[in-house]
Amino acid sequence: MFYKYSHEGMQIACVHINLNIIQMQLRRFTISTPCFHCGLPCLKDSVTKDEHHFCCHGCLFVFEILQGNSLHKYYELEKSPGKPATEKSKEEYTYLDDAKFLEHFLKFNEQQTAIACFYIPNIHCASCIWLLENLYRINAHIKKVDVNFSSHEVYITYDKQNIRLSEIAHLLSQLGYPPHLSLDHEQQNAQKNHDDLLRLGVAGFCFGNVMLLSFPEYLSSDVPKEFQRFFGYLNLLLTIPVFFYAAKEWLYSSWISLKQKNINLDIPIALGLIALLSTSAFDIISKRGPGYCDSLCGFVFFLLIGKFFQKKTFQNLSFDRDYKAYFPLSTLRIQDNDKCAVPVHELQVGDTIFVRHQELIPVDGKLQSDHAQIDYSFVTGESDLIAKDKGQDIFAGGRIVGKAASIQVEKQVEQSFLTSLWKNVQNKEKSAVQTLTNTISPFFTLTVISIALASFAYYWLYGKNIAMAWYTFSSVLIVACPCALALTSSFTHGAMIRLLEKHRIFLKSGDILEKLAKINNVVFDKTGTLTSTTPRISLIFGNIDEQQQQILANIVHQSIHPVSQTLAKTFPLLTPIHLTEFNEIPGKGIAAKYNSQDFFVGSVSWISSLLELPKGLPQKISQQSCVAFAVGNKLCCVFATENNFRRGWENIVSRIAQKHAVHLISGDSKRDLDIVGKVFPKNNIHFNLDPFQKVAYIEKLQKSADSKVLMIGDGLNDSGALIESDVGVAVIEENSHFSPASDIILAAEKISLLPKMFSLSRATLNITYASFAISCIYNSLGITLAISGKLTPVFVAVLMPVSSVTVMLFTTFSSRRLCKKILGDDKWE
Amino acid sequence: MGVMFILICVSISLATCFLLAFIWATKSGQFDDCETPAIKVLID
Repeated sequence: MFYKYSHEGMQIACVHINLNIIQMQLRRFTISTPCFHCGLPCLKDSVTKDEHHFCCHGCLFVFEILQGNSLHKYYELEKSPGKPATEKSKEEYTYLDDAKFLEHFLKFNEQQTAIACFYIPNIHCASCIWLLENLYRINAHIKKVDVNFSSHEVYITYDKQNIRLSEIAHLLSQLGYPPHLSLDHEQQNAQKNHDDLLRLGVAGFCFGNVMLLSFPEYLSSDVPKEFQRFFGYLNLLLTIPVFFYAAKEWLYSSWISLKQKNINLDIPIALGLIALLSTSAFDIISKRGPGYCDSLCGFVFFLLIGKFFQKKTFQNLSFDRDYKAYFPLSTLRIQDNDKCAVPVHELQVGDTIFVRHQELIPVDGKLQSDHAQIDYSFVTGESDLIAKDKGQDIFAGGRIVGKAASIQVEKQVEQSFLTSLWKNVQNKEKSAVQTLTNTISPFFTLTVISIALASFAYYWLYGKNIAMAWYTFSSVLIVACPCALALTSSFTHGAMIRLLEKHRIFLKSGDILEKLAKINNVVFDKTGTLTSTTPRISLIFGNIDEQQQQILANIVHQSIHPVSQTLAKTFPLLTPIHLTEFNEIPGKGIAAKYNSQDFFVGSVSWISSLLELPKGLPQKISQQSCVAFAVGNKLCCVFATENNFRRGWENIVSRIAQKHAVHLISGDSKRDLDIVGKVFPKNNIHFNLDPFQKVAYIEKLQKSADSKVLMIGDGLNDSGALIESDVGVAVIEENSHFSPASDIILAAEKISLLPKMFSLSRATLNITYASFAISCIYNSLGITLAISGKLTPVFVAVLMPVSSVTVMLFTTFSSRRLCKKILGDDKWE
Repeated sequence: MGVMFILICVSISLATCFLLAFIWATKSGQFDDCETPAIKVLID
């Protein structure tokens, strides 16, 4: 029985392997060899050198540079590690030599040498590190390069008399590692803070030593007197740095909140610490006992661990972006028929700038060229191109598509339409949602203080024992330290942040989860959020054979119009052919000639003006989003470009709609109304909204009584709304390292986890409640002993760590279990 | 037993040296990047 079973298993495994081999071979034959440099598939007439295949001349170029400098090891460490060289001219980086920019990028600047810091997103493997650290072999004026793999930063030490920063940047981009230059990033990393680690180290050191010195007390009560005193003083000495340095933050914060007449969790912590220190000092100096130094140090150490655990920063992800991150640092200014790169913020009203294909327009202005096509999808969400004529107003944020345009500056960068979006919203503080811990802590503090006062009054007035009164008073404060309260949120949040990271959901901070539980309105953006950024092509009329497909592929691969690019993605270029004629007519289409036959690709209306359309065409063919392909004087086929809705989006929305009100706001035209109308309530669907109207919509929702709004969106057009909402969720595609300011960053393919996030946030609250219950049990036990005057240092020294560790273990394990249960175990997908 | 006082003083001052070493290492940025050196060591 067992044999048969395992035999079958073997067979299945064999078949599987065979299939894999066949698939691999198929791939090798159809797509041919991967590029030796970057691993992309090579075309049939690819470039070859030294028996290596390259997909393009850019890759070959990098290969030649590396080989010329005997850096061939780059290809031995990893297979196909490179990225094709970027075609940027030296002039494009010259602005880097401007003193203003040098100041930003240089970390160190002396007579001979300077150290520059660049952020390079392309760093991805060991080969990258090796090549960058061996840059000095290519250019001797570069002295040393240090790579920080996790933050993708490189520190370049160079001889500034012989090489300029712009030349280094150009060299990097030639090698396929273009630095990402924005002022925003520099400011963000300006200060690295070691304070948390140092505090933890100091507290740990003191805690360990104090524990050692206190150990004799735990085991026997008759430690020789001289040792008792010696250990006591040493303990006190070691506790001082813990109290004044490691625990400084809690003391300071509670002082601030007292001043503002507002009770937060730091007040009972600070009270407990002060009670611990003063009682210990009194006991030790007056030779009454060993004091509570061990408990104090242990308490602070655990608090610091909790804080360290909760603080998790995601390198490469930024939750607070402003407009500076979007804009290029420099642009080309035309002056006396000469183009030179100038920093964007130095542009003056009246200057003329030159913006090329795929470059971002940094300022508001007037078009000076005859025509320009602008892609505003990033700003408005509208995916169709906008054509502008000479003299028309142009707003910042669009991308020029096709022919380069010259634009006269009308407003400076800081005053552009787009920048004002940030300035308006950013002045408002996000409404701070009261976290559970903050709600409970005033009750906790007041209860503890009143119990302490009551026991003090009891022993003073009834027992007439002032010493006992003081003793119980301090005991209550000591034992009721809110370890559990403070540790609960840090450990639950820390665990959740780490677990969610594995699912590619990134939280700005842990209390976002508590905020999520209060959300009752969920607002969706359409383009880029419910739909993927690449549209889908579907054949709606006629058919196309393989040879025609290749001709179409050859035509569209030469065009930069977004529709052509989408077609190009659907029909990969396999056999390059030589088109004898190629003519792109803006706004209409492309006419091409091959083997003395005419081919036309373009809008249906344009094609219909050229030839007679056959009868029986479907109705929706007249829509703007259709593109026709004609061979000779015959219509071959018609494609429709559709917004590619993400898989299962209806399911996601309807699951959220069960418990929340759902809204859809989009900058796009109404063409998808029929599709979204099935899922969203009709009154909550809004099309054609500009970024400001989106902000206004969120504001309007928030004004109605206890309405908390979650906004989920992507791109620049939603950034205002994301900041304005109570919880902003930014969706990012795999390959972009850009996201607008938000509270949660979500990988696009994980958008299906959004409904589960709400259950997770409720689960987080339940964990917090349960953990509070645990701490209540410990506290009531401790307080009972304290009131009866039986509290001993040894008991406190045991109770405190035990309660802290229980809470730590409970929260960590239950978060892990719940996270697995709710999100499933698909983290390795 | 008098030797205990000396021994404890010596051990604590030794431990303090390690603490100072830790503080120096942190401040000089040795804990800033824990990933790159792990990869670099495998290259050569």
